[in-house]
Amino acid sequence: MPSNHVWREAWRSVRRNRTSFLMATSVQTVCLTLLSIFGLGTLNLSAVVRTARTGIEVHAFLADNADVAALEDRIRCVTGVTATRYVSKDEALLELESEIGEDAATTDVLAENPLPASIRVSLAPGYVTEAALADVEAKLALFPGITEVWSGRESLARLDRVLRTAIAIGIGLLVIVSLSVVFIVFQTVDSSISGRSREIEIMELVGAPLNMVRAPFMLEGAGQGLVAGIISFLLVFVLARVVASVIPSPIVPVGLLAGFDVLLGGLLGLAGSVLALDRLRR
Amino acid sequence: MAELERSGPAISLSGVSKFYQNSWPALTDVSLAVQNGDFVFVLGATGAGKTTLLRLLYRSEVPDSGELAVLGHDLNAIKPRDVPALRRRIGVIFQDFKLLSDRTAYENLEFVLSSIGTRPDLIPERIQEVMTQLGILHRRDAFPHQLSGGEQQKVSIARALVKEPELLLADEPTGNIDPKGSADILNILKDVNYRGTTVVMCTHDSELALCSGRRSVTLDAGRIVRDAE
Repeated sequence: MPSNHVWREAWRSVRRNRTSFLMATSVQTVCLTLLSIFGLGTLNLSAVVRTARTGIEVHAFLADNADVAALEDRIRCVTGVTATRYVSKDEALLELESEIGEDAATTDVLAENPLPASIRVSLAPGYVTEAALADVEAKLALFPGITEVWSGRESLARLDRVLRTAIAIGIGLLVIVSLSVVFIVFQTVDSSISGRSREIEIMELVGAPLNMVRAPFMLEGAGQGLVAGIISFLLVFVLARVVASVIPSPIVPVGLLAGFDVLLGGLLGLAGSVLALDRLRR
Repeated sequence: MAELERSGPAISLSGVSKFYQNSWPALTDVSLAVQNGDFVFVLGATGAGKTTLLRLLYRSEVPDSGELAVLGHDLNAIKPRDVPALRRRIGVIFQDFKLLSDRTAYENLEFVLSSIGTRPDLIPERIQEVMTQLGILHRRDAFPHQLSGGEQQKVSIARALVKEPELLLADEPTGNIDPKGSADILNILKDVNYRGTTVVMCTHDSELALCSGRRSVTLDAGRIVRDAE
């Protein structure tokens, strides 16, 4: 635990360089906030993709004379299939009408129901991938009585691509933000060291242990990062509350968010100050 | 004040040379011994090597050749992590005082004691003792710019003494002070020496050394040209 002297000297340094401390902390807060918002967005996107996956069914459209029972039996034997359900032509039309909604009247102009009956195939979670869906599609297409197979894998592939891109951008942002925060803290602490060169000179002259010389600056840097992390967490938390009033049930892991912001801010702040203190070794 | 170590000199230099970047010799083949409890003047004009000698003694510089020992430590072999412990036994006074301008006289001393890890409850008493000894207790709440040159130097001396050093190094302590103030400072240093602290004082004022009757070592162009009582 740092001594009172260390806390006092760190606070003195912050007070002396109030303006640069506030400005540096503000910039760090913005960086961490943007990173957190993007992280939350990616987390929620991931949840959307996960939900979309669980709802995916392969549609095997049937010929008019298809033996439904036999086909269902065969389909259930395909690897990865967990359940099947038959949707008749009439049920398919009802589904369409409920999806179209108020424009259901358009179906009234059709002379007959053009929609085929189908068997909806549910897959185990591990098989809801582009490759596995393509495999299931190919197998089902070979079964007699099945005229067409549709799985929505193209949509899934698009979602997956979006998610992968978001994650890659998130990682890139994390690196950029981390470097930026470290650089900002480095500059601030380096400036503090320069501004307190007389104190450092005296401390070294009177035989202060090196950790006593360095500790106030490390506290200052870590403190900067911690403050930025706390403010960033609060901002994102409030923003998430606002968004929750518009979008139902967004995922906001409060504990994880707080820990991420505060820990990352503190660690990056510490890293920046350690780098700035390197000159004291020399 | 510091207990004297009766065995071995406080300072021992043997064939010490120091060169700066362009091979300019700041000190050449300097050999010198200062016993515990001695008071030694180091005389010489500007550029003679006085400050370089002091900087070697508190290990701010390292010699390029020769042997150098201070308070039992071989300064050629001392590890960097052990230098702070050595410096805690040495007090240094400068011509330009080097006080912290944003702190009072009291806070300047408190800063030193806190930095070296002195117990907080012992600090006020220690500072009061030293400031009383030097006659500046009444100026404890003054900032350096509110003090005269002589008072600033006394605060600087107090800062050096407050950690009870065994060795006191003074680099032109009277350089920026009027004659009366200089006499005052010299008397203080003599008193410190009388209480047992070894004192090495650099000055270009040979009159000061002559009047004190103490040993003086004269440097000229980095060499000792005279060493006499």
